[in-house]
Amino acid sequence: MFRIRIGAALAALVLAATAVSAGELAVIVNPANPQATLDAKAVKSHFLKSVAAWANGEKVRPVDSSADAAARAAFVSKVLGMSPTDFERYWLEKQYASADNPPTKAPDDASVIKLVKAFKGGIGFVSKEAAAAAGADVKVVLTVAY
Amino acid sequence: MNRVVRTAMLAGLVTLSSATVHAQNLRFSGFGDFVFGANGGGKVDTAAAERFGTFGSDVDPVNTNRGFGLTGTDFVVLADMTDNATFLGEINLQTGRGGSSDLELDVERFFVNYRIDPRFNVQAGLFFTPIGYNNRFLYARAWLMNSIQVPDFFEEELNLFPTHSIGVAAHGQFAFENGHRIAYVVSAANGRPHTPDSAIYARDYTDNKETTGLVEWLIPGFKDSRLGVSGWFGNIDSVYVSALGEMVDPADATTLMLKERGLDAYVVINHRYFSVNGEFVRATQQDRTPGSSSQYVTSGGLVEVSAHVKGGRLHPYVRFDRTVLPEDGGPYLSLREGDAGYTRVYIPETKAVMSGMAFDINQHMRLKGEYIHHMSGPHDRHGVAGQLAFGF
Repeated sequence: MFRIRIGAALAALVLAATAVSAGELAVIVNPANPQATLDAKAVKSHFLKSVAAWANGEKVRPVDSSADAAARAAFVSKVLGMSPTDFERYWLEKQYASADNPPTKAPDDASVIKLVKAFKGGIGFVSKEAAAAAGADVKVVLTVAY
Repeated sequence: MNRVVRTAMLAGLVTLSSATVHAQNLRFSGFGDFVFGANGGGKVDTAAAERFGTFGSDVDPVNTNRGFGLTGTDFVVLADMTDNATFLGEINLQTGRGGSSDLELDVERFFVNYRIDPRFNVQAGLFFTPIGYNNRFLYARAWLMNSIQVPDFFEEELNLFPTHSIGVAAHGQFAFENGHRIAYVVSAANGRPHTPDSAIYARDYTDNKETTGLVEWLIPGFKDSRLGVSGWFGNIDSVYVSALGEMVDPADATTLMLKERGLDAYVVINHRYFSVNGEFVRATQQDRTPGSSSQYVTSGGLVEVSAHVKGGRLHPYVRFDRTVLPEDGGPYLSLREGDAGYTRVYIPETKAVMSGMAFDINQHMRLKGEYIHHMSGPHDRHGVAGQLAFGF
């Protein structure tokens, strides 16, 4: 009986772990962007506009997505290394200090893809499936499991 | 004009104005605070307190929190006029201190920023003088600061160092490997006015220009850390008042001509679990009247160490502030202009340590509690304060 309970607990843990890491998001840029891949540090510096231009001189245009709360939370914590509070405060501070504008907000993955495709300096995040479906319209530079 | 035409015109106007607003991408934000403070323990320096009572410019020295109060409420409007040009306007509403309850309206900033390239951008209008860190980023913004106390050395009401400028500035950043950047700002602006507290908005009556330069190394991390140095120089044309309380008619005033040079160095370390904010600024005002060799030195600074715990929401901190001034504030920094003419008021030095905690209720609100211990001047020895600060 005791063994069965341990077995059930382990199975529940495995299931829970599988459920926790079920999602995967893709960081996308415009296909004209010369960057083939980016690490989390580079995504952070561009998404937060610490680096305001890409290597080809195009102005960085981040797109923030509210399509999936879990994916957004994962992007903010795992890629930007911030809490949602820090993220909001960061842009308010940046707006006060340098009159810079925060990322364009997009309601769903399709809108993020549309904006990143439209702007040569665009960068955003969508589900891996949405990025794959977009094909050559955008370029995936980083994937993150969550 | 008949009703149909009026209605059509009104509808057209509404449509036009809403379309214009939409095209400009207007953004509106602001910040403010509510504070309560109490003081006790007797005056640190009774002679200084008596001097302040006789020659001070208010009931209490600036930044004394007594009873309920507001440090200031700011409204910020940003308009993206084109993809590259943004207008920023910041209006400050401040209730009177001490014996006054007048509401004061100040223009904090009012400029157009034109983005040409990350390495070269232009700004024109009224902006924070590009000196140091605290003046540019934390000045009076309770919501962004840990401490309740506005640093005296960048307190606009004292203007010990130039906090605001009206002119043009060029600024930019050069990016290097691993996210490191070198940023710069250079500006040319109207010089200091006849008295330090009377900002000139529309005209430069002294014809003196103030030039400023700043270089900053930005180090990537949890938040950028910064290491910077900045400096400025300019001439000041004012009037000479020999003693505190003396009143001089502008028509009979002797000209006071000064050459001001200043240097500021700062370091800001931002780690996930702690921050250090240290800044030191020093200025000399040299009498440039032929035959005179008088020189007045003003310096100030702060060191703050804070921790970030409870998921980065709770910030215990300790801070030390210091300003060192020429006697009584010196011949320029103590000058004030009233209806009867020019006079001088007593400007005390600051030497204080404060300790407290700031707690982020959410991304828009910060609650603080602080103890301040004054070690010099006319202040009460002990002070406690609580503050709710917000930004949106």
